[in-house]
Amino acid sequence: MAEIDTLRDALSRISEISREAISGQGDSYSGPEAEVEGVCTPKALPLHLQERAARTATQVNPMNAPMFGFVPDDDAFRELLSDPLRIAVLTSKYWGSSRRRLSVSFMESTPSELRNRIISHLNAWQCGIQFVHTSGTGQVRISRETDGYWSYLGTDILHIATSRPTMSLQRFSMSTPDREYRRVIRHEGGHTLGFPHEHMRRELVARIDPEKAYAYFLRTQGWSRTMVDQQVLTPLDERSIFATPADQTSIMCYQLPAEITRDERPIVGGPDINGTDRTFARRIYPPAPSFDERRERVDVQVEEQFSDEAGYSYEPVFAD
Amino acid sequence: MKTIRLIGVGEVTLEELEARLSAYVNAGAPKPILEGTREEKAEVLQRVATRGDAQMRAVVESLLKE
Repeated sequence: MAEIDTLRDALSRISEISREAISGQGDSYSGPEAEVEGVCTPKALPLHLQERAARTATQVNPMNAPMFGFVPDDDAFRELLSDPLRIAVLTSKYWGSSRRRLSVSFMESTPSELRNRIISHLNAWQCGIQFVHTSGTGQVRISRETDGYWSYLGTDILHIATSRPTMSLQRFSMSTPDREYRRVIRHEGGHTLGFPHEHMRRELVARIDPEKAYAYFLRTQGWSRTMVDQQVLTPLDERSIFATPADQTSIMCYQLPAEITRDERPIVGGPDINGTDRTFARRIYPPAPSFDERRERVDVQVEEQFSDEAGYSYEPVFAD
Repeated sequence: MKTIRLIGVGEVTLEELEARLSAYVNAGAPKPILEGTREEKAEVLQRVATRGDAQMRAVVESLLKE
């Protein structure tokens, strides 16, 4: 390649990276959500390829293909399976490793200040899935007038009727303490990323005394024994998740009191996304290269191709 | 295929019912309650169980006992 072509290619690359850095957008974003203003496995879920749920999951991410003991022939996925990290991901609900934007709308009239505050906490995971507001109908639809705090899981949100919320943040307002934003909204954001409750994993369920749990949840939640069985005492099917030992300080782990554990020690829930949470989320949903990583990539390219003669000052365009 | 209806929600697809059951078990979402006779509910839940993993089958089994 002639030197001038090499130069053009390098400049083109610099321009592309600069544009992405400035606009926050890049060609790597895929899917219809990329068009939204300002701003989507081997679990044995749907077994039938012809069914819509399976098609959707597979369209979003080929690794979601339904399976019976399915193991993708993919080095990155094998690496994930062996990675010693711990948030469980319901594998059929995984959004895939490509960077992606999920549009967010609100079911009720919501002041922009509150919208921005909620979305900023959803984005606290700082991974390759970015939550962005849309004035239309979002893929993530938040209601503040429903009961309780909950969210559908991962790609399952695509199956919920657009007239219904996919996430419930009961009575969240600007006066809600910031610690609750961290504890609740980041937790619910984790569900939308595909992370189930950490305390449902077998290792933690084994610590719970069933009879104590029945009494506790009947008293505090009015739950039947069946409900307690399903919500608290039924561990995730180990074949349906990838990840490793449970982490009691994970944001996805609810607090469970000492009075219901066999060892009379509480199962401590996480008040915020911890380092391991974030590491894992960023591992399975890789974020855009950091400023330093981009600069390093360009430095190498420029130094090799242009030396000091180019004289371009490209650094400012990468400012956050 | 018969229509699936949930109390307080209305008509849903089988995939939405699965999503709701999964969120009910894993993420604190409200329990989906099927409309219809006992036999109609059982038929729908059996379809869910057939498609689901061990966790979903356990949920269905529990619901069938109610």
